[in-house]
Amino acid sequence: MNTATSLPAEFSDLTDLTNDWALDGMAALNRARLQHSMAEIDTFYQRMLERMDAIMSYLQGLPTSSPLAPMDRNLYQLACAYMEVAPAVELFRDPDVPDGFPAERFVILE
Amino acid sequence: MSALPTTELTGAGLGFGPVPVEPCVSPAYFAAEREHLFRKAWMNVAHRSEVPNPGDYVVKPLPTLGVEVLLVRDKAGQLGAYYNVCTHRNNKVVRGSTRGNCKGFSCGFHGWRYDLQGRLVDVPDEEQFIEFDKQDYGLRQLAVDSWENFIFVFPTPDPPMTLRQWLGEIDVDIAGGPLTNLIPTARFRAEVNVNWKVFSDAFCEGYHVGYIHKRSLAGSFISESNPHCHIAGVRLYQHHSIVSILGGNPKHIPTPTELLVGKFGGGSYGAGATGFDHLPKGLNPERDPSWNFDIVNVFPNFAVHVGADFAYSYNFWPVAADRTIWDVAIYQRPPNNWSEAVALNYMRVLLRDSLREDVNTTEDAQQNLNAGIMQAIPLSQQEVVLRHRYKVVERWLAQAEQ
Repeated sequence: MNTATSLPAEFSDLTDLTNDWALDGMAALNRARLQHSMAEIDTFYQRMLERMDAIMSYLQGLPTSSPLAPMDRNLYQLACAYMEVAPAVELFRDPDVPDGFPAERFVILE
Repeated sequence: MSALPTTELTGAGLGFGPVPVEPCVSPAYFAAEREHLFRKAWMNVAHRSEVPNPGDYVVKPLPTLGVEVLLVRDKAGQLGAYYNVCTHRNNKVVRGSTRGNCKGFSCGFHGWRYDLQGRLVDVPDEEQFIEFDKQDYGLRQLAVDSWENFIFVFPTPDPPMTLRQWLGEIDVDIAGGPLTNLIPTARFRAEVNVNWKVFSDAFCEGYHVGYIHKRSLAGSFISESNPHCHIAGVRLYQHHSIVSILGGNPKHIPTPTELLVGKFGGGSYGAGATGFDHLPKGLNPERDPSWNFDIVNVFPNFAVHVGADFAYSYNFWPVAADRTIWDVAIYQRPPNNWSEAVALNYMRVLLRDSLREDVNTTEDAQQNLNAGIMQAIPLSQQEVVLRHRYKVVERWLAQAEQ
């Protein structure tokens, strides 16, 4: 099994999202948001929203005192990607921040 | 929501008239600020979490002074601050990796070695230096001290007042609050073509929220009872200031994400799960139920916005009259589990996006200020902190020239 893109069994229906969205850190996630169309982001958001409650309940059972197993890490990163796109979908209706300071000049350090 | 009592403002001696813009555009004024203010003030450069253990070091720029600071924790756990300047031919002692743990420092130019207390301990081929004593050539020191986990430096080793004296009543009023338990969770940086005071001004009132943040924050901040996002109150100190920002629109319909974040512990504006009881008296002193956070402006160039369980810090580093390097950090409580870690992301993302809304007006405003169309600008009572800062800078420079 390719653990680089696989998810815990109960979330295997989301596996096809991992290539684009299971990314490490805010800078990578923000780049992904800016590189996708609003339609693509809407699709990702909708599919994730349906599963977010289950995902969050699953992750709630994993204490931060232990590092995440690779498949759990993929799931965690997908959930973080959901948080990254949420303002684009719910507030801006745009991948980028309308009337915002240019993203390329606003450096995300960590 | 009533306006601030005028007695409070007249009592501060700030007046009500238009404020001149010359301090925001004049290269001569900036040169005076750099010389008399930024060379003579305590300035935040780091957070304790960046150098927690003996041997830890981090290099931090002081862009306004065009030099770097090397912060080092020695074997005894004592923090030292030194200019990152080899005392031989002024090479940078630490290059490349700006953070790490070590037993000492070695300059890459001629191998001069310094210990964790900045002492020069080895000079290759030392006998070739005549009338030379290593003791005279330790790293040049800055004064350093910490407050609420924030590390401050003063450009010389002998400041005219301690950090505690400098912070004065702010220390008394807000020490021991939420800042002690929060850890940095995100950092941003931008170089913006704007005067440092105009830049700081963008983050000192609620008046702009309904307009600049109409897409992002306005829905949850602006309520029928507070349509202009009036502040709850302001405390003006000799140099510093604190503003209490209100939010909490009871008619706001939470987004699906806000519901998730609330359910899984992603922190919140206002009291959240923590209530106000744990807050020191200087934060939300009115104990206003719709309080969001307090903006603590530590003169001259540091601001920390403190909520019940989060904080943001801003460092404004002027490098020209109309150019500023801006460092931002977000602080949150450490998550217990990985769903909390996910939920805490949302506030970081939303703040980041709303900051891009804030900053986007500043360069246009600076261009127009430079063009000299307006010689002075009117400020409302909601913007009194801006008026206060201009007055403090003016007073400081006037005293320096006496």
